[in-house]
Amino acid sequence: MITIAALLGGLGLVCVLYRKTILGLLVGLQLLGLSASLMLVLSGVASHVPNEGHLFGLFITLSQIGQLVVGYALAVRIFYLKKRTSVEDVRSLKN
Amino acid sequence: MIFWACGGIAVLGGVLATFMTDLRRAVLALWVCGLGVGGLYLSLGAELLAVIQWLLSTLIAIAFIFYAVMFGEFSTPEDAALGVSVTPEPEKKKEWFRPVMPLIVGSAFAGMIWLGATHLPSMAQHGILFSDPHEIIETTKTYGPQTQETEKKSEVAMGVQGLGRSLAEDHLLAVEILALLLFLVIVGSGVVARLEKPET
Repeated sequence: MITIAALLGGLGLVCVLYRKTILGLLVGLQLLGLSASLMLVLSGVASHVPNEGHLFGLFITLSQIGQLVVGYALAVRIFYLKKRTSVEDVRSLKN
Repeated sequence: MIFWACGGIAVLGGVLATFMTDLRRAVLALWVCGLGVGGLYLSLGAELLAVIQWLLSTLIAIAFIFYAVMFGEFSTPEDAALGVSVTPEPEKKKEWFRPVMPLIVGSAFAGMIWLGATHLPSMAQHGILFSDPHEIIETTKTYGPQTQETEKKSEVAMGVQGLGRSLAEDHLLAVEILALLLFLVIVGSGVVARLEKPET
């Protein structure tokens, strides 16, 4: 069971490192979030306090929305400036 | 059985989402992965979380496709200006080795999670690493928690009603912080993504 969460987490990290666009990066972050959430639910079930696991899974899932919205906003900003959404362009927002 | 079927769907969706070259198909794979994880939640007895996961996965997939279509896959700024969407950019040189390092790091990360979980007492005790979760859930329902204190708590905290009560009583501060975080995210994103018009 934990294997599924571990696989999803590994795939998420691979996606974050492999993709070159911001939207691809966000896909990887979503996979990582799914893995973390699933891990918490499984831990809750294994510890015989399932509701605690569900609650923390819920918090992680809702926090992912915030992360996604910020990612979209950054992508829009970079697209205005560079007409593309490459991850490498993020550092151009520094100045 | 359902657990492993949903797990297979989730992992397959994750693999496709990671390695698909076309972003729109990758997003669809992510949606399938989210649905699979929702099924896992359902089989683990987290009905509320499953429904929320399914709804959010669908909304996220729609938003992703919207943005992917809006940005397109432009190779050059000139193409973008013309609105020409260039599907996969022709690779100038073979980059077969590019996914190797991410794969190594990802495998190490997955292995680390798995090995770390084996050292958690509750995980190792119930054989949750390999076994079907239904046995553990049934054990919890039949025999209940081991101490009287947690037993009293578990009588109250069952089902969606218990979740709501727990949210409102035990985790109120966390809910408030999350609400504030989401509010700040909405406002901040609006500020970051605004179109700056050149000063006249």
